[in-house]
Amino acid sequence: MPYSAEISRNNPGLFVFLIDQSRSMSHKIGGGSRSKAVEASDAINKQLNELLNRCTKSEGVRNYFEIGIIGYGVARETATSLLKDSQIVPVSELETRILKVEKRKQVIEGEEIDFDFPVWFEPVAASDTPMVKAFTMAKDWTSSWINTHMNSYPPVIINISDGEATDGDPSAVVNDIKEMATYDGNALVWNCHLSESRITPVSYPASDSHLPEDKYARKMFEMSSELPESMIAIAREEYKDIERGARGYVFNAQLEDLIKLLDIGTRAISSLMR
Amino acid sequence: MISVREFTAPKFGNKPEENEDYLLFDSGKLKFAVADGASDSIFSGIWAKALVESYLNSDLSLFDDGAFIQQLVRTARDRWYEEIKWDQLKLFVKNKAINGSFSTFTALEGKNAGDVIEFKVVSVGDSCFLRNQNGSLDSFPLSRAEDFNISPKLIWSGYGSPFSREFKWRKPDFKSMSFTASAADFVLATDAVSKWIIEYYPESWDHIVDGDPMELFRDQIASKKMRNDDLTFLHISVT
Repeated sequence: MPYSAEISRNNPGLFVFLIDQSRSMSHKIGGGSRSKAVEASDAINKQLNELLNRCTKSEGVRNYFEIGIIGYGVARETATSLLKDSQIVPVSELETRILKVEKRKQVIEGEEIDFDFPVWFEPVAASDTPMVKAFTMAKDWTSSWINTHMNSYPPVIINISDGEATDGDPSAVVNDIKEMATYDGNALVWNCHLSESRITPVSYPASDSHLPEDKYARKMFEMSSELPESMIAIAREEYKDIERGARGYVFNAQLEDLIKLLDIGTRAISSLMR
Repeated sequence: MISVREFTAPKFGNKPEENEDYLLFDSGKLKFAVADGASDSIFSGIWAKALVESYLNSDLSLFDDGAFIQQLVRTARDRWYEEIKWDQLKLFVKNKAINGSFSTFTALEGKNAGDVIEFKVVSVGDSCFLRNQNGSLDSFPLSRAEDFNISPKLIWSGYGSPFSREFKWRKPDFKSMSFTASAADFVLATDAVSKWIIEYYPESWDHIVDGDPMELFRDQIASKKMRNDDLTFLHISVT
């Protein structure tokens, strides 16, 4: 059965995040009060927190996953690893790369509790959108990783963008990534599409008939992999109408929806963690 | 005469200190217990141990119908809370530890009643009591292999620091059963072993009572008949 490989420290999984840092990300997300860049950086910080949380045991963080993070658009035609001097690192190494720790509050049982929220990335909205270059980099990393991890759970590549590639059509390179596979299944590509349009958010559509009127939505949808059965079962707890064939695509998602996409993925995956 | 065979080991590939199962028994008091700390939470092994020790090393009795679970959780919470060095936790451990720990718990207790022994079982979750009798197997609280899933019922420790040790408890969803017997051929086991016994009975029972469990389980896991999990059982024989 695909997507069922045991995830362990000897057999880790891989997440590669792609973050759009282009100038257009400075515009406010449709229906929201914050810029797409703020939403994207908050999303990546929360998603990394969530991953580290899943991997944390009594003695500390166990390396159940390896992580790569690519930023694109910080300078013209530039896609680069956001982890200084590294490409893919064990998840525990993120502990040593925290930019700052913010004091945040959460309410539990009516009590306001302080907790430390680590931040790795600040919002950036700078230049053009070399998405092809970013996915090409992700493809190279994924290909190398798969060569040495054939027994592992397939890599998951998560792209957070407003969809407006300025260096061509990323479809071909994304298809190349989706064709790559471990013995456990094909690599998965998910897209978190941040738009300025004031259109009702869409999560995990199964067909293009559910897509919003947005000029990049179809492209981002087509680039997204179908969710494995195990993830659909979990997604159904939150989204009752989700259909078989649903894709890892969320449109105009607010932060909580972006987190849910990762939550669905990691909950399905963490049941395999040993 | 009572004889007990015990086994506990971490998942293959993990270190002994990473085993989040715990077992303890006192043949003299006819008290036996196993617990399986949930891998989704942290300090679960400490919590599983606290539950089992709180039951075994005290006068708590399964036969105290009204108060047992509440007293068990309160006593175990004290032990769990005191064992953790809250002020020395690293960032991610601290953030996760506030949510507390979770564990299954299954205990068997007997008391002499004339020519027979009156037994009682209390269970939360998917650690099972199994009874081999007249060539058939009874299992409690789960009886079918397909009943085992990734979300069993669990006992919660309550929140960690900065909440104080004195914290209101949440009653777990527990089940109990009673019966009398003059002889016993019982097993208490955590989920992976319980499921395997049910699935491959009666051969599985023969293997449990005799042979090298480590070697047996390694083979069963390699042939995908058993999940690679922390593995724990107590085989109790009363003749």
